[in-house]
Amino acid sequence: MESLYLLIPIALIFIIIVAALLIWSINRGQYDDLDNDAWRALNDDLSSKSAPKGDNDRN
Amino acid sequence: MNVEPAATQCFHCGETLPTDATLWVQVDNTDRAVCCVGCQTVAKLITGSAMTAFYQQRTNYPPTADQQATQTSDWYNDKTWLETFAKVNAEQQEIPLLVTGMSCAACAWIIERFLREQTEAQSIHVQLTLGKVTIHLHPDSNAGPVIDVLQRLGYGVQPWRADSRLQQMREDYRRDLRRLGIAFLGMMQVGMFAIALHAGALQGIDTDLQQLLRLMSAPLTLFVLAYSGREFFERAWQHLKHRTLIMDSSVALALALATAASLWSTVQGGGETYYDSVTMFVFFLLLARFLEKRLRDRDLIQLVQLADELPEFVAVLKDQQWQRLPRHRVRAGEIIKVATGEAIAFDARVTSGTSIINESVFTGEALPRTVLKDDVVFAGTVNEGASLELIVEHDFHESRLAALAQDIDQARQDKPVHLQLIDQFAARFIGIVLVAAAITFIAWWNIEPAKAFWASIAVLVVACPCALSLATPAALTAGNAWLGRRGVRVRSETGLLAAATANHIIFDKTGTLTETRLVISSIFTAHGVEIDSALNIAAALQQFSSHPAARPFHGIDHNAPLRNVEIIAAQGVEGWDGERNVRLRLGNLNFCRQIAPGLPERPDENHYWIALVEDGRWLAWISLSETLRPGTKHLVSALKKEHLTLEILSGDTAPRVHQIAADLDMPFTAALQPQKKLEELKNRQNAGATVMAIGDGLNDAPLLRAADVSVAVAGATALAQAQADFVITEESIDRLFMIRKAAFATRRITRQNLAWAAGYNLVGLPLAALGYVPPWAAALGMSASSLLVVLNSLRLRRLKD
Repeated sequence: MESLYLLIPIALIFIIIVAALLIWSINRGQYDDLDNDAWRALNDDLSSKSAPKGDNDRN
Repeated sequence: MNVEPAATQCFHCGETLPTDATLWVQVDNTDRAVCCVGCQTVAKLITGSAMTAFYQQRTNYPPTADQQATQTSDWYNDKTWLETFAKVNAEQQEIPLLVTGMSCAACAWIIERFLREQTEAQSIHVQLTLGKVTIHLHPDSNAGPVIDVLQRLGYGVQPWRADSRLQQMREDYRRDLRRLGIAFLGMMQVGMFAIALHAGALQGIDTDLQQLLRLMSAPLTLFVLAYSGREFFERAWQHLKHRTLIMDSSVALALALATAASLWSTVQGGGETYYDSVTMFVFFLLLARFLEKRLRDRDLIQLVQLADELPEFVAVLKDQQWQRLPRHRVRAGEIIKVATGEAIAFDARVTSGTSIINESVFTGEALPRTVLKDDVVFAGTVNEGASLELIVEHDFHESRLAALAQDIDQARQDKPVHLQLIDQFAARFIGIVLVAAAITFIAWWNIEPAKAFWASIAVLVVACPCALSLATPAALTAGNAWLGRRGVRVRSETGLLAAATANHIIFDKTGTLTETRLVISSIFTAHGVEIDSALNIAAALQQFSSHPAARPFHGIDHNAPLRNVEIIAAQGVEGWDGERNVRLRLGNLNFCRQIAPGLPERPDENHYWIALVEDGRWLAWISLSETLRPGTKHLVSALKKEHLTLEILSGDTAPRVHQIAADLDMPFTAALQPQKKLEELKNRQNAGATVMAIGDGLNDAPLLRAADVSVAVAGATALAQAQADFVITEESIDRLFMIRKAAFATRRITRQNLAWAAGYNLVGLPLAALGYVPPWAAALGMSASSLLVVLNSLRLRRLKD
């Protein structure tokens, strides 16, 4: 049971990392257009050549 | 080769096919019927480029290909103009475009594919929800060909101009999403710890371990409160400063007290904690608000930009030469030229040319108005005849269109508010709860001081307004989503609640009850003239004209031998019968009387009349009338059975409105200016009616804005759509039934939710005050009742059509 005293705080560290990643990706604009991306993921035909996200929509 | 069995819809755009459809396109070895040459061209373009997958993947029809789309692609080659909205530097050009007609993700795909394979575009980025396409080009390339491909595919293209409202909207969206995400993560982690604590409470747990779990939960909960839950506190505080209580006041109070009690227990090392309930509550409330807001803002973005439908460029006479100038650089007193099919950007006076101007957006009149030299035309109307030269009378901000936009802003402030009810209710509710908690505390303090604090906390937790505050938004969100899947876009927060209470419905006529298309309704012939032969001659003459009044004739077979056919603008058509060598004329009264003085007056004023004459003799009067939209009669009779007051308010002339109104057996008021329509509406509202308004044109926009609940029909102008609570996207107006159905179902579910939440509080509160409810049970009950409200609302998804 002693291991819990270590594991529980580690869980807290994990959640901080996940939260930081989430905020980072939202700020990058990765969630701005969920409809298109949901569809694109299922369509192999489309190569990944399209423009990088996030940088080009600051207007 | 297969032929598709009797299709009724155009394969490409989904419009109803004309009965004599003869256009086909071959897709995957099957012949598919299409409605027009434009659609055929686009479909061939798509299949010919091996992109047939588009038709399998799409979930919605693309726009009808417009053959007469104004070709504007050349303008995009002009770098100086491009710089007004695009980023151009030595390395690349970045061109943001507003693309209209992207209806589903397959459109995004086909745009990306086409542009990449057929143009010099280096990269393409489509943002479907914004309707935005960003293109990167080499600085030496021209953007024109890219725009051309988009237009040939049937999409509308405009420059994307940065708009502070949109910027703000996107910032808000990201902020809400961050808060929601953090609340979710916090809820899951704190919930995990809580399960361990609850299990420990049953099975026995190390006190140290228990304390550790609580110590871990505390900072997480505080962070969720501070990061995600701050909007509840902020709003509650703002209202408190104005001495008002709203739902958020009681939410904030419950959150603060439950957290404070939990912290107290944690510090003390005993008692109950509510960390899991707090985080869960924050998450569910934010989720309901987020979903509801997202639904609402979905197409607002496009509408904000489209509300401005005037041309970007205007041909202006400068130094004896025609130059294309951006609209905002044109000043009063300058001479502009407006080509066929273009919208007019200013209030102006004709200096040369004759043409016909479609003013249906202002007046509701289906047929265009003839303009001659010195006539005045208005911004926002469309030139349907020959090209015109005009002198600009006012700068844009003094135009009638700009005045209309001001009316709308005014109407926005007058709109009755429906959601405030729940806030009024909350204000009383929170008052009662606070008093109850105080009484509990004082009573227990005198009986058994140790129990006083926990009993009053239990009262507050039991009475936590979670279920109450979720009751309405959860039901509305589910109801709005149901409608969204059935061809009705929901644009307002509370439209459904208002729709259920509406008892008075105001219809616009042209474009709402009727289609803008005309049909031949009756023919009066002179003595001895056969109806068929009159129609034969008329159809032969009209085939050369593209005037809206000529279109009903285009489907009629004709074999009259004509020569020297000439279209005389604003008058009619003249031609010669090749066999008998007599002059024929088709058109208005004065024009025809010139060769046939015996032509009688129009038979009545209810229709649009066209005369047919030959030298010295009149042949026929042919009347044209508007057709009702499919399903209109059924709709009106069904609504009448429900004892709703129906009426028509139209800008069109009285006789024509009378004809439609008589057909539908509805009262009407005709020849109303937008401002008058608004006054009529106010009168109804002051008389106690809850008004639903249904319209399509610019002139309906203030009406739609100020009505208790409003519906814009398919094909409505962007300005009208932007004001409406609901936008019907299908051709048939009977989607109104769906709106009413969803409204009643939503109201029923909302009432159930409220009854449950209130009943739960009524039972729970006395029990908690008497000390029978341990705090953990109060917390469990609170979460369970919120969940129940959400699940009950989800039942709306299964509502039958």
